[in-house]
Amino acid sequence: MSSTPPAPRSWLTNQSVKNLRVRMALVAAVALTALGGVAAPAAADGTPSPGTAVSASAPAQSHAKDAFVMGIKADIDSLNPYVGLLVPAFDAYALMYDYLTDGSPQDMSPVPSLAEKWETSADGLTWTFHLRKGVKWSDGKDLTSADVKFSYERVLVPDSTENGQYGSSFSNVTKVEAPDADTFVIHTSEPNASLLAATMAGGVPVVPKHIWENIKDVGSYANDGSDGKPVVGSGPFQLVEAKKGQYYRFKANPGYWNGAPHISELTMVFFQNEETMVQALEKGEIDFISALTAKAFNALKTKSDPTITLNQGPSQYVYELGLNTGAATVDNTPIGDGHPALKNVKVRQAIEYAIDKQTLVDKTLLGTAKVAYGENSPLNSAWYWDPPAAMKRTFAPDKAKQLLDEAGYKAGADGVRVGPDGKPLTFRLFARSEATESQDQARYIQEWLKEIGIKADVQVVSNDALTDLIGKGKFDMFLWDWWWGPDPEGLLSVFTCSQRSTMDGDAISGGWSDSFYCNPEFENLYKQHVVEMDPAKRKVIVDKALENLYVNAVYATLYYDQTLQAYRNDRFTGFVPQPASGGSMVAQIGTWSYRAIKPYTAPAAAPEDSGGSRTVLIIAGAVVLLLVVGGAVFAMRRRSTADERE
Amino acid sequence: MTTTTVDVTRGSVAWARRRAALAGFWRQYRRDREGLTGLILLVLIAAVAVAAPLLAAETGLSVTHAPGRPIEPPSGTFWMGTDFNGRPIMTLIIWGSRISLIVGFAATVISMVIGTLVGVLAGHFTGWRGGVFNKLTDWFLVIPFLPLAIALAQLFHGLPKLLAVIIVIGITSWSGTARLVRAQALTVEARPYLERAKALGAGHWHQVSHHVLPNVMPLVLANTTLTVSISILAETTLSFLGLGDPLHASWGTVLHDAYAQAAISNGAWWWVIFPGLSVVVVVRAFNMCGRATERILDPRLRERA
Repeated sequence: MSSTPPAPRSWLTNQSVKNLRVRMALVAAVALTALGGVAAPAAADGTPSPGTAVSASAPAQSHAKDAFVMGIKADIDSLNPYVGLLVPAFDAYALMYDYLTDGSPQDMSPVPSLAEKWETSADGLTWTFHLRKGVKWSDGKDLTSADVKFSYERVLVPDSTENGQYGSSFSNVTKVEAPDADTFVIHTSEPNASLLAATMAGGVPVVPKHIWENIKDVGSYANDGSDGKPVVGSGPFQLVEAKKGQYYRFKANPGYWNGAPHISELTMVFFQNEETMVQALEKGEIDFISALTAKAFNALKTKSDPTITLNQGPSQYVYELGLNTGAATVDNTPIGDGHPALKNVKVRQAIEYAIDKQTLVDKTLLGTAKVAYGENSPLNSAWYWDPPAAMKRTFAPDKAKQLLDEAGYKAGADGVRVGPDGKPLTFRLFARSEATESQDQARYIQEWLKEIGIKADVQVVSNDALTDLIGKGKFDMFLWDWWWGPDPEGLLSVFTCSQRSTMDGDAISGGWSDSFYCNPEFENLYKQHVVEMDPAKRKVIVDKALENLYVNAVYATLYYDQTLQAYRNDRFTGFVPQPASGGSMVAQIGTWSYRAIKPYTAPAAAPEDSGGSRTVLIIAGAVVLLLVVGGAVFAMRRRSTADERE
Repeated sequence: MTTTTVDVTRGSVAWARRRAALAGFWRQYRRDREGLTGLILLVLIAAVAVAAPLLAAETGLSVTHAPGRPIEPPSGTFWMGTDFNGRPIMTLIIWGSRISLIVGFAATVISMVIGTLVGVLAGHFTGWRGGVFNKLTDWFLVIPFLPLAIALAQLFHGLPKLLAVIIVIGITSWSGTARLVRAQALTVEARPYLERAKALGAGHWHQVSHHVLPNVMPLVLANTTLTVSISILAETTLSFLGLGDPLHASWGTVLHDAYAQAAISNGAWWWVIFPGLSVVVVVRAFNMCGRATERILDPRLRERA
């Protein structure tokens, strides 16, 4: 129930203007979690929970052979590509719309999509994209450079909803042009190394001008067909039915420029409860589960059902213990009530030394993650930086104690260290109600910190409550994660001074910074890496920036999480992992798997699946059990009330 | 004779009468097999809760010093198996009994106080004043417990979780008691001695505190034992839904962890069965006591027995 995956904070939506909507989206997620909560007891006492009801009402049961049904654990927060924030939402945008470029299935590098080819001018200030001819919108109209120009121009409008969603990489774009129907040009004031990555799937979608120019209030537009008009896109699938909190049905686009998909339909079914979702997969109601927790994955592994294939591979999720390094607004006004000791780099370093990351991963994730030090995911191999062994703060409680001694925090009477100011080292540690593993991990971290003389006061709050607390600087430590895209600009921008909170009168609105890090040297490196066009030189700068973050212990980065997925191999075949070395099979940069999968055809005279007879056995067992227990209870009742009946 | 001595004499007579009634109650209770079984069970469970530090080492609650391996089935070392952190389920249940019982009792106190107050006032006052209390009871009776409890838990999220759970259960479970107490209060109100008191000029306070309340108290006590079991069940439910304090082991949070961490699909039946059984045993014990008390206090039930 609360094992829904963390609402990933995506680099794609990296701008402070967005924050109001971030919270609103998260509030919706919380409401759904509460509903999930209601679902739980129903499931426990045997009546169908809303989770099962959902899958029953969805076109999931006994679905056609070429209809692909996928279970998702986080609901799509919005089908409007300028509003949604969660991974399944971006997955839906990639189904419905096209982008100038795509991320290759091998290594996520930019490959042609709507743009057949592109070039930059010698000074690196002009990008020219040559568009594919003959691409049509789902209502039959032609997709031209006017649509592309329209889509990019709206992202450039300062302080707009569109700018908040996709604008971070376009800060130095001066203008966009469509000199003819098949050409699109972007002009920048200085070189922009992260521009191409922002044109990939997950970046700026190309939307139909003739539809969106008539939409007045973009921020509140649902884009789910609820206004009676069909949703128009150019992607490989088109939305036909959206039932928020239940399911989303997409129909294949037979005239897709890159070839029609091999499946007729694709449905995403939302489950509030993981256990129910796994059962639906086992029963064949759904064909794919996009994200499993380690423990549910382990259960499937132990069962080793031959019709279920498991996919375990690296992911771009990086989990951290966030630290309040000194909350302040963009104009350096201190805010919140963070513990002053966390401004001291030695204290922050000591915290990382105290955590046994390997045990954390082994116990709470059953070993399905990789211990992390540097902040970027190894999956973004081009921009990955791992600290040299001598620099790594591996588990060493004695070293942690020594650092705290040096910083002047001496052991107090009750084992909690006290600073020179007389303030004990008592930190609030926030875990999230939506992520059960974070609650589990908080217990471990609390016990390890106790051993070095730090008291962690663990509190469990919802995602939206934590977003609010962080924005106001009312926290000391928290457990959360990021999904980092292939270009490092998104990651690095999160640690810049300008992403700290802003104050308007008394109202504080959070930026994307959750560490309140503001370091002149780092700022400099950030600015350099944006304009450095030579990948080798840019790599040196990015490495230095990541090293700066690590040396200053901005986070205690904990682990690189893995993709854990499961699917029915007797239903579909031909999945394309991204990256090729066992990465995610869905929710990719692009729609590689969705366009490649084919219904599985069993070889002739294949043995009949014994699923049916097994179900009969289970039901028979349940009936027998009910009779035995019921009989026993009845007999006991009769005996105990014998005196009353006479 | 001064008025003071009169008062003292009257007071001591009342006390002697109450003592005799209590002794009589106990004599009958002792003979009630069901009631006695329930009471013995309760004493045993309370002893376990009190003696938790002696029965199971507190280090067994620690995740970093957990003695076992992940999800070990029941064995000679771990009678009830272990959880994913390698902590013995038995240790969690023994220590969890403290939270479950504390929450159960504390919530019951809140529930009984509100229920008795509203019930007595609804029975005592006639006209619109009684109607208000009556409608309030109706309102709380018809609202389904879970949605209200979940909404209230969100409202109190600023409080320490344990306190929030106690308050939520307390203010959602008093309506049944209020209805019961009101019915009893109405029958008391109809008796001649209350009419006499009124004729002698007794005010509302005197009527309620000296005549109505003492007469509904036995019913309240019998109802208390039943409410405790409901409160414990409610605590388990709320904790199971993740609304409890996830960092303090209670039976509900153990079940919550088991469910959230896919214990059943991983075959760890012991992680669900044992805390579940604990809840069943305690709830059943309180019910047995409650039913026995009811039988003794309600003459109609006594005659049938």
